[in-house]
Amino acid sequence: MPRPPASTFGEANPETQHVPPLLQGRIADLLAGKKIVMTGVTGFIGEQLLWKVLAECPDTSVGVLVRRKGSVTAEQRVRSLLAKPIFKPIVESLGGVDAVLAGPVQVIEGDLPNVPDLPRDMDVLLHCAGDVSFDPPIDQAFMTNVIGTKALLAKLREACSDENGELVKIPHYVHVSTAYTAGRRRGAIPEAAHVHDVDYEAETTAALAMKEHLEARSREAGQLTILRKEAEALHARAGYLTTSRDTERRREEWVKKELVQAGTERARSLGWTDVYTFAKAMGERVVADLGKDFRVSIYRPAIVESSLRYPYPGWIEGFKMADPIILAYGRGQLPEFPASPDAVIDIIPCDYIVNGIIATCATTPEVGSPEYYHGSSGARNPLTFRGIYEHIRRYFSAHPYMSGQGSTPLATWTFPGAEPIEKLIWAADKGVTIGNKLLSFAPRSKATRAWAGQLDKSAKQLEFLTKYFTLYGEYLQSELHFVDDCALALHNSLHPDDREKFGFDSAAFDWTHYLEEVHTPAITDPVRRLEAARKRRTSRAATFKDIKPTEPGTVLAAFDLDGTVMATNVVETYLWARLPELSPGRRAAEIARVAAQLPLYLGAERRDRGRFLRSIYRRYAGADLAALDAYVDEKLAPQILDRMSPDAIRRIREHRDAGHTTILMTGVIRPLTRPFEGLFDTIVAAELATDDEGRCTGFLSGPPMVGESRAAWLTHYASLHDIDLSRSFGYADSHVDLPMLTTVGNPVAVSPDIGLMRAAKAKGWSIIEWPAMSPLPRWRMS
Amino acid sequence: MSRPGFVLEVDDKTPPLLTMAGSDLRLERFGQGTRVVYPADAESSTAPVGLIDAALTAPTGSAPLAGRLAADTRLTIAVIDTDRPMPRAELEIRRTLVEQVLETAARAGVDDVEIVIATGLRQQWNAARVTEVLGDRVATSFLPDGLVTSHDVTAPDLVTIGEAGGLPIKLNRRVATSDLVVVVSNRADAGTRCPLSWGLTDVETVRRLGGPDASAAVEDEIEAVVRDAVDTYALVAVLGQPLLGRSLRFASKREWEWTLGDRLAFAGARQIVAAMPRQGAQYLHGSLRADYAVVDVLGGDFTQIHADSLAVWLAANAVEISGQSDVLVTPVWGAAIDEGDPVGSPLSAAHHALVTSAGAHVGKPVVRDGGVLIAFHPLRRRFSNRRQSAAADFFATVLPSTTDPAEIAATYEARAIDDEWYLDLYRKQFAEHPLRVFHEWYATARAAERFSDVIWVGGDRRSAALLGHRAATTYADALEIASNTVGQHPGITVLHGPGQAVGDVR
Repeated sequence: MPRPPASTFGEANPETQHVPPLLQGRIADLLAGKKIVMTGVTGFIGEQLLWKVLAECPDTSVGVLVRRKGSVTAEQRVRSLLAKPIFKPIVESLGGVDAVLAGPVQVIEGDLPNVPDLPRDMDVLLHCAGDVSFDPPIDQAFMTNVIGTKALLAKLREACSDENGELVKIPHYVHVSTAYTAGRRRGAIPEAAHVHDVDYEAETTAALAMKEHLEARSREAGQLTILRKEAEALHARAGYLTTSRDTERRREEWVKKELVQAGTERARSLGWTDVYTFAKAMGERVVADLGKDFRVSIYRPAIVESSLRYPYPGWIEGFKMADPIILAYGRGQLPEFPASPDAVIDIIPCDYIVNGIIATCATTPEVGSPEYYHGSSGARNPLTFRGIYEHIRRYFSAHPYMSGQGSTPLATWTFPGAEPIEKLIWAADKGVTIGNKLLSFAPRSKATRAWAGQLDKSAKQLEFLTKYFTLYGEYLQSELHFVDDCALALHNSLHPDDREKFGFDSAAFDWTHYLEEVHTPAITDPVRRLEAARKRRTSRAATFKDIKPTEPGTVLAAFDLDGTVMATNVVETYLWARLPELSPGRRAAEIARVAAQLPLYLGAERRDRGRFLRSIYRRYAGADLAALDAYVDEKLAPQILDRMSPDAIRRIREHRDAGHTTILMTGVIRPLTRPFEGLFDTIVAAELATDDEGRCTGFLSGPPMVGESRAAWLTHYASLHDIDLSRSFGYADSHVDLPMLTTVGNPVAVSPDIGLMRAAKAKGWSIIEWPAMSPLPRWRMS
Repeated sequence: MSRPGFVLEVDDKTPPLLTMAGSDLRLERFGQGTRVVYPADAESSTAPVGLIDAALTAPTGSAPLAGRLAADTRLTIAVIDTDRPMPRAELEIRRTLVEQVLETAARAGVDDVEIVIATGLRQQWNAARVTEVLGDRVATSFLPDGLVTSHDVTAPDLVTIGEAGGLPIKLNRRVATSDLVVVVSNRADAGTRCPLSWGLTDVETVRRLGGPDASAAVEDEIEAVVRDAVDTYALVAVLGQPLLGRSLRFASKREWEWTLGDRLAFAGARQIVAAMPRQGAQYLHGSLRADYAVVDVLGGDFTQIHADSLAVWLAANAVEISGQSDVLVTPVWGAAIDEGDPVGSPLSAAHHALVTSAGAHVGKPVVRDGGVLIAFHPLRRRFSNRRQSAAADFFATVLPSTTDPAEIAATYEARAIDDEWYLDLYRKQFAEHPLRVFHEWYATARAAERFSDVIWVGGDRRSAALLGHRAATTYADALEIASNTVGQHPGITVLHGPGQAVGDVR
């Protein structure tokens, strides 16, 4: 029963209608004795293509062009591909993987555009490799789709020619493209070459030049300054190396972002939605141009999702376009959706595409007139966004993504259009920015950290939505449909015995069954399992491990002082240490002066901890160092000890008992660390410089040990004492200490500030709380 | 002479009575028939010049002190600090005693005088403490020359004075090498421990005295060796009950005698602690001083005075009770258990409830074997890093694995008393010796064996479980729990007041 939009055009005139080459028998027979060389077999469609040919066409041999990946050779990759469950029965019936590789499957190691020589006995070249990303950098998109295709066709010509360059046989080249090469066209898209006059050679040259240009621009002083300042805003306190590493990372990211942007804009300026479809369209033109004396078929799938029936219902590899949205909806992260409710989402099951492509391989098109096929559902079995929403909602109502505490109510979409949602996202984005700004001033506490965690979560969600909507925004409003009359004619010519296993009539399946019983369970079940596994994993301590005894002197444990082992700060300790020396009047004056300077100190602390410490220590000028020592021993030690965290003391002592070298690394002055001498093997502290009479000059005798200096100190100490840093421990509370924590194998963030908390979460470090539990209030000394 | 203690039998006219839990003061209504033990009234102290004179000039079982001193006598004054009343005394009678001894020695022309503080496993004294207890005069003339020292149970220079049970007994070097040791002490409880063997020997000896398998025989043997080794003259001040400072004076009074001022003070104290649980509690209970009336001062032969002082103290403080009861209720006041901490640690609270309160009696315990102890304390898990580091670790790591004294002694004790960090804190930071928490626990666990249940009202459930006890939200709930073992109508005795209520069960 024909449905709109196809039915609205009425019956076509069979006389004038183009009829594609049809199948003249069973597919296995048509392909028997032939050799198909395939690209992209490690991909989603390619894998099933290989499976289908091996399973259903026993007399067909296959060559697979596979790229080496790092140290893994092409053959190893094919072996691990053949080890997948769907290949198991085939491999077993053929007598093992070695037999398969010696028999029907030939591995050809190579890459696009550096294509190796292709086997001369090949009959069909099936090219289904390509980028799967919708937003590759422009140079990469052209490299794969234009230059890569050109190189492949050149090698194909070579393999079919004699030494004089004359064709000795005419191969069949099957090119897998995408239906969306139609770009921003509207209405019915015929199965024919798109009409446009874009010069792909010129576009390719420009795309490659763009890469050079942006690389050069990214190295200009102005641009580097901007990037460095961005990096400094986050990492200045950690040190220059950390900042420069981050600057370089930002530069690379910037180049990539600009290349993506350039691609998108160029594509749009010529009438395509994005660089992916643009480059694919250029690729089609290359095929038409270079394959003039070949037999050429171009197959254009729409949005390919999990299989309807073969190898089994719901077979899928990885996530496809619609799947993140389905998952996000199930998780309750999508309150609304900016699609037109009546826009068509052109989904087609993977096995329909595979069947169509193999049927195409079995045809014999005319030399010089390429055949085009659409693998799509929109013309005769359209699914609207409203439709998919209802199916997905029904599925998740019956099978909630989460149950119990983690469950969320399902959203009801009203499809208000793109604009209100864009506004909402804009407002939320501003909210996150303001929240982050406020957080940077919030005092450090458990509540602040919880708040930051929530903010990060919403920011991540927001980032996902923004990215998704920019990437796919155009498709959500699309008002085009792909005519698939040729594909239907090809399907109708299937031998009656092939219809069951090779059928691909896109009107022949029911969306309720496909979405609610096949596809959605296929993508949500593995994620549920994965998340359950992750939950189990994170409940174990990551880097805060139980301490096991080791050979003494082979492992170290480095501790930061302020905020980690002890609840205090250098300003406070300065006042403790300095005030008793002064007369009551001068005491009050000193407190007033410090209070007046406090905003300046806090500013310095935000920018550079070293500078902050120096400005505080300048105040020690004139103090008697020996008297300071004595005073600390007599009066301050109880106060300092009482303000340590009992958990910290216990942990330090456990390390010592286990034979670890315990190290205290702090920016506070040496005299104040005297009470800890019994706990640490080595104490690295700031040394106050003194004059001949033992009075402090207000300067330090060396730079304070902060940020990267700590990392460098630890590395050197470890090399001098044969200490294994990868088994060592580090404990710190602030973002400044990031380099120190990074040097050891078991870094632990203790009651961290937000910067360190984020870094620790990203790196999977343990975050623990060591509350200081002093029975005495702060101001009492006893 | 102050008003003697008595037992109040609660009837329908009895007002709610004051109980203490940590830093929390509250009025609790007890069931009819409950017996409440009020110790003798607290009174302010008066200068006991006559009593001291008598103790020095007309001693018991010894010649007068002046007669035993010569110009070349090597004299040591041992100030006993192994047991001391809490809250600390506002006017230290030990200062007056030391000053009197010094004066007597000066008159006899004695040159070689030193003061040794017999602290045992307790905190050593820092300069501030010496000044506070012994006064400016003693501090300025003795401290600068290092003539006031605290005994260190781990000191390397201890002198072996003999053997008991085949093991050597070491004594403080100055004490062991003195011609005469004047032992100055307070008597504020019914303790029978010999302050010399507990306060001035080495850690191994103290370990035997307080270990899980300690016996009276071993204690007697060690005591005999120590007493034979030194020539002593004892000087003991017997104290009355604590009279709290003005802000908490009502706690030393009987509820029905409270004036309007007392009522306001009580309400104020409650509000301050409720409004500022830490600062307020610290302000009111944290560094409290109390005044103790000096009931008598005894001087003379050490052994005899030790026994006599106990008798005098009991005569002044013990309260006659007729018959044992099924349930004993005791408040645990923070200021009476941990110095400087208004609430006190759970280990100190347990020791106070089971050993100091429930364990104090004259011959026959107030509660029958298999009875129930109900104590009021929050059992908050707080320890001072400096003074109680060993106790904190004991609570966090030892108790979760076992509460059995023998097992703890075998597995954990040796390591703790050799622990460098603990010893560092003991020697430099005036912390308690790590062995002390073990001894306290042995005593606590031993005392708990007599009871079928120990229930903490308002206590932290996890802490109570760690101690092997139970926790109840209210006193009524505690009685409900107790009813499982002692039935619906148990005989209940409540110990009252901030001081020591000792029952003399007839």
